Amino acid sequence: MRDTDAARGRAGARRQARAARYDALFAPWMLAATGILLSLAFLFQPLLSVKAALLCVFLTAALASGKRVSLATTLFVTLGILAANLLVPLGRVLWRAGPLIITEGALREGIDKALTFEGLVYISKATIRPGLRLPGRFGSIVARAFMYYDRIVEYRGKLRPATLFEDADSFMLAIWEEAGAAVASGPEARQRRGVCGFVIAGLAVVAAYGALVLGMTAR
Amino acid sequence: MTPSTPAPTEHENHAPLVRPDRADLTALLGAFCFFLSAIEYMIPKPLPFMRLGIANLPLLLATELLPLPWFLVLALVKVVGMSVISGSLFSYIALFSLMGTLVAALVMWSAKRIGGRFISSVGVSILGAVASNAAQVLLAKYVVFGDAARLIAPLFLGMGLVTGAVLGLFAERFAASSRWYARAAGRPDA
Amino acid sequence: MRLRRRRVWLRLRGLTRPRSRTAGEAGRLPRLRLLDWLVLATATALVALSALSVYKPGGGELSVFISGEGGEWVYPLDKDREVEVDGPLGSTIVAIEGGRVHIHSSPCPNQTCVAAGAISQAGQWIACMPNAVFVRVEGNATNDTIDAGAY
Repeated sequence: MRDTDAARGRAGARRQARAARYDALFAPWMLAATGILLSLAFLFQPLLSVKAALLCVFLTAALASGKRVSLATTLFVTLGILAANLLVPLGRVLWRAGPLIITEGALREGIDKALTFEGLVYISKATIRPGLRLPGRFGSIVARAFMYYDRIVEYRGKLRPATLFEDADSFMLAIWEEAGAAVASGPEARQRRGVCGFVIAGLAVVAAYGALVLGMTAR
Repeated sequence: MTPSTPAPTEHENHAPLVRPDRADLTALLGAFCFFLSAIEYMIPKPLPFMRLGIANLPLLLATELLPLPWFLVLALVKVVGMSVISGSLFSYIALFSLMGTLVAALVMWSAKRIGGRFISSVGVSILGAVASNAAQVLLAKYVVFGDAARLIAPLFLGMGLVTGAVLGLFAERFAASSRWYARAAGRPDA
Repeated sequence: MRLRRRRVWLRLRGLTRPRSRTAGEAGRLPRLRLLDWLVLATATALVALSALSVYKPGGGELSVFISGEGGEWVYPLDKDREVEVDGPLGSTIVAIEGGRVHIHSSPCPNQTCVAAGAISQAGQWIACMPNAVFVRVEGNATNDTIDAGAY
């Protein structure tokens, strides 16, 4: 039991090291911009094989960013989407067993939707960092909500089923009052980043759009 | 979302002293949405698309605490903040969250305003949850499941009914006894 | 029975009363009001109806099965589309329109398949023997009846 805990701790430490390396390379706003561009190029990619290849790239990027990646969940969701799409037959019959009909159109549609779903998830995982600050007044409200969220997570009070409502009330009061008294945390220390991150992100965007043009013309 | 300095559009000088700062209250409620969605994430579910919708609880409480513009800001804070924390901002997951949250928010707000004293949080919550789940099933039809999405419709609607009722009962009791709620609503402590 | 009715009536009387909160009330379950019951009933009915319409036996949607030289194709009957099927004489164009399916054009000499018109019920079929194209409507319905056809 302790061994698995230790292993889990080591894996967590490795993930944190990866995240630190990733964050030293890319600024959050730059990653977010890259994410928007990549999402669009990925969404409109018509070739399933290219889409699958891109998915693998994004999965690798999500791993490199130190995010937790669960292959079991990915597989489960993919199979669910595939199964749902196969329920309504469409197009050429590939295989038939009693009431179960596997059709080419439904299979393509299912694969496309599953790839798109998972690909966008991994693009987001790789390009949305917790340090991202949104601009404008709305952004400042979101930032304030994050500040409150940190307090909630750190709250050490108890919530007992017997006194759930009283406990929840003191919880809310504590978070609110504590935050009201606290001084808003200052801006984060600006991290200096080299040109390397720009080049990598730029290459990724160029490659994704190159693949998009390729897919559109190959069609 | 324009990067400008805050514009003084609210007549804050008319508000009584006990009235809390709306932006602050919106942020606090938004943070509770994030927290509850983290809890929701930890509860194991048989289907990955299944949701209990407990992250909508702050929205339900906010129908009485915030005016419509701030209420909608809260809905957006919830969607954007949750997507940033879970890293799903550019994925369909964020789209589902946006759709479900906006429909729930608008339906709950209207129900509260139209129903007035003839409706409690229970009815408001059920309406919001069922409408939100229906909207998500519709979205699932176009985005992931195709026409087979109708097969999960009864399951999702039924789940909305149950979770909506439970959340509504919780909210009703919490609002009735909470000192925090009274203060957030600008009422003196009981 | 009488007792139960009396309790419901009492509850109804409280439905529209504005909230009055006392310390004792906080410990009990909240009282539902008029529209709460209405919402609860409507939502329950909606869930039941959707379950009945989706899971009813034999209530599956109808599909169009088209077989030709190159294999077999399936399409839902409720979505309009045109399908081109190749046969020994050329391509037959099958049209699905407004929940009905018919053969729009055929390279065969006798054109009886085009003249056969549109079909829409499970079990119905149209065949074009010269071009080896066979179109049939199928569903999960158990009472399939073959009542239309043309050679």
